[in-house]
Amino acid sequence: MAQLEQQKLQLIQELEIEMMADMYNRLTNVCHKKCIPPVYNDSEIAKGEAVCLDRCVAKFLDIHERIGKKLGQLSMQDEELLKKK
Amino acid sequence: MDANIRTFKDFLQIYNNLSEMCFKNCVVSFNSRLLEDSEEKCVEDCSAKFIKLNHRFMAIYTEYQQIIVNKRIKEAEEQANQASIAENSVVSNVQEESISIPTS
Repeated sequence: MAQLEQQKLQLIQELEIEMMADMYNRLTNVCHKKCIPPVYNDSEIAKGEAVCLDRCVAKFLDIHERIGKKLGQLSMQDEELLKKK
Repeated sequence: MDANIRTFKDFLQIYNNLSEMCFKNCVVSFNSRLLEDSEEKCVEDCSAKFIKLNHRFMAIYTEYQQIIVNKRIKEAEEQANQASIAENSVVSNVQEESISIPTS
């Protein structure tokens, strides 16, 4: 039934969006811990901190993409194994 | 919720956990926007190990869950047995009393 497929697709899309939101929260937490020392003498962002944040986000997203590809490979391998059985 | 959807949701959760964990443990320098070679290798090893650990966790967990379930079934059976024994003894006491009513 096409409608069920449609609903399933929509659900999967919603889950992906939820996953992205979760990823964003983790990203901000981790990069905050890594780049911003917990000393609050000044409310402005130092240049070093800004550069660090920039690179931190780039690296995190890079790693996220790599792991995504790796997990995708693994699930395809699992599927093929199951099909063979 | 469909079981497949549940599995997919758990998979996405694991994906995010893995990304965060490997990033935290492997990335130590911010000299560049690109990953260093050592960091790349660390991420490869980290993710492979995590996935193997995950499989092992699932195997051990299912094994122990089975043991716990069997234990609970045994305990429930024993309780049921004891309950029925207690019932039988009450019934037989009542029968003995009714037989031994004094006839005076």
